[in-house]
Amino acid sequence: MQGLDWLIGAVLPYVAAAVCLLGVAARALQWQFMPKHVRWTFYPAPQNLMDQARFMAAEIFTFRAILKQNKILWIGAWMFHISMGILVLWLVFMMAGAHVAALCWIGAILMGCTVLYLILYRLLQPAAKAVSTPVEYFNLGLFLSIVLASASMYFFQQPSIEEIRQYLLQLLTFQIPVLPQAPLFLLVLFLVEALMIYFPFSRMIHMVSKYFAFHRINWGH
Amino acid sequence: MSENTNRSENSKTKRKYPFKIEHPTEEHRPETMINAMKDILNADIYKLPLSIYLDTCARCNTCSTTCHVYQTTGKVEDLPAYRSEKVRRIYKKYFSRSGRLFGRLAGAKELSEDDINSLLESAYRCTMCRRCNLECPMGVDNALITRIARVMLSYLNLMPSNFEISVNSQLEGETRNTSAIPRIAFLDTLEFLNEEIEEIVGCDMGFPIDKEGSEILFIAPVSDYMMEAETLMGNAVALNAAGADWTVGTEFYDAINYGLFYSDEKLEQILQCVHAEAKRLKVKKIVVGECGHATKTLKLFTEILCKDSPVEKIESVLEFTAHAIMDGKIKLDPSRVSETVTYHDPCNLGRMGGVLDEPRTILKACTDNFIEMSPTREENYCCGGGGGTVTMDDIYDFRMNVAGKMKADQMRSVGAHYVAAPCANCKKQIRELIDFHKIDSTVVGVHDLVLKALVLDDASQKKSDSDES
Ligand code: SF4
Ligand code: SF4
Repeated sequence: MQGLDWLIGAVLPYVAAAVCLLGVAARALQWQFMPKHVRWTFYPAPQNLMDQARFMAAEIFTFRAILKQNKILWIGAWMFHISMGILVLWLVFMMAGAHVAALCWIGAILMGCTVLYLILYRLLQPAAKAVSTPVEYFNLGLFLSIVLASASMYFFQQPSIEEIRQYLLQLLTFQIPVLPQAPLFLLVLFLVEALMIYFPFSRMIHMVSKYFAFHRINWGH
Repeated sequence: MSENTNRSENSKTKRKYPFKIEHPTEEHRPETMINAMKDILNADIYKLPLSIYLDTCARCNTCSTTCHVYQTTGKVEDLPAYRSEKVRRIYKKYFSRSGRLFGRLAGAKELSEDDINSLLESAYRCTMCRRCNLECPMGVDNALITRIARVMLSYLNLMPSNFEISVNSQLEGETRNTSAIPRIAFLDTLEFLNEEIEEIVGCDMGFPIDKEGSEILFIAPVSDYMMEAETLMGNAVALNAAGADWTVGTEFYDAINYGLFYSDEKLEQILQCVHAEAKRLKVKKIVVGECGHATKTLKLFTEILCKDSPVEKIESVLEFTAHAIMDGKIKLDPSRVSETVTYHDPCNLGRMGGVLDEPRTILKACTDNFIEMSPTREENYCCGGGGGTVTMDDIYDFRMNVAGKMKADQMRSVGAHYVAAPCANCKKQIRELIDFHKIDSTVVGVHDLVLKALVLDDASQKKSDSDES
């Protein structure tokens, strides 16, 4: 391996993982240790852990608020997040040696469609358009580019899943990795790395901020 | 405000403002605004909420479905997230890493004079009712962002003229209250109220005045002394019937704190005045009259801004009376109020103050004909005069046709004889709405009904008689 291969295939994966994990941890710690703010409770706040957990579960797994208020947005936003879940699941299975092609297919198609749907929604629905900034399109575009690059790799270069798996295992066990044959793999890899590096500093940090917004602000200290 | 509202003009520069402003700063506006934001971002009280709210809005507009202003106008300018974006842009451009690196792409843009004008217009089209927080998946509070916008604008003296006049009168005027009621007139009013009370309940259950060493200081929005005699009399009889050791102060007797709506500095100064009065009278507890924003200000900001105050507890008179009823200290006869009664949850008491059950406990003890509005409790609509906008006569049209529209519809459909609203601001707005929309209801305070329904047993009557002799 040399040049770009080496950089994207062997160095950046570690850099990206470190930035992503440390970045998320840093932001969470920063929020955790911010000074005591004015009590800004939103009533009635759930009283016990059970109620809080129930509220959060409904928010996270069903997108409760959006489901209740805006079904058209909900279909896109919820299925998009589900598609991420499916792809992560596929990755975990695949790494464990059980490549379930269906999961990969469903996840990728769902992600591609929902991202397009969300972009169109933002462009066509006047209120959504009014509040969308270039960042919204950039974020969606990043996911779309990952789906498109992966699809091109699949259709034009028939990558070997086993090669990809071996490569990722080598990374995980800190061995010198061997890149899969498919040249487009490098592009997919690069885009995923970019996403990981960008994640902690982007709006996608809402995954973490949500905890603080509800637990520390809306539900009291 | 809406196009058909009067626009006040500053004669020197011909700059137009959406409402009357006393002394607008005309020079160096963008720089001043940026410095204002710097101060705000450095203030501990906002660090956590702002760092989350400014960074994580998903632009999903779910909040718009619960905002009464947007639901009424349907204009993109009234989308909560659209308004908040005006503040976020300043933050992104001048204070965030991504904004400095990527500029416009990250939503950052140089702050212009026009941006300031449009922020001023939006900041007072939001009633800071926090209803939009009901359904935000990220927990973002756009009302706080509006508040930040208003605080920033106040660095340019861009605040409604009435805020400035009232607060000056309260902090620098001789009378030290927002309605400029002199102490002597205040004492007269108390005397008058005490006589009235005696006439109504048949014994001395009036206001104890400047009683040093009492347990409780009772402080109401001063406007109640001009507008809401029944409410005040109800407050006094409830405190007395429950056997409280209480007093009113005559050096600082106005709980109103418009600082909450536009200025941290003023908020703190006014808060200090209330606590100074509490200290002078050596009380341990403050009971706030029927007022949403005054109660919220005292309850929330005391622990952060007046840490040394000897006051140990602050509560709304609604909480006081409800607990006294539950403890059996106050007896009410529900047959005395035969008309239907509904309840308006003031935003600052309800979803922002958690005082949701107490007023219902009181009202259900006062009448058998209590009916809820729909939606109710934390989902109740803002009266349309929140965030201090009720004091702005030049946006009357906006308050009646836009901000108060949902409330008017809600009141009409519930069709109750009395609309009980325990807040000076809500009462004024609702009274105007009832007139404007020709609704067949009367607005009252919760304690107006307590006064009507109160039953005095012989024991308390005798006790008060012996106190007298
Ligand atoms: S605080 Fe109230 S008026 Fe302001 S945006 Fe939210 S719901 Fe609308
Ligand atoms: S509901 Fe919350 S996240 Fe969505 S646009 Fe409104 S403030 Fe932003």
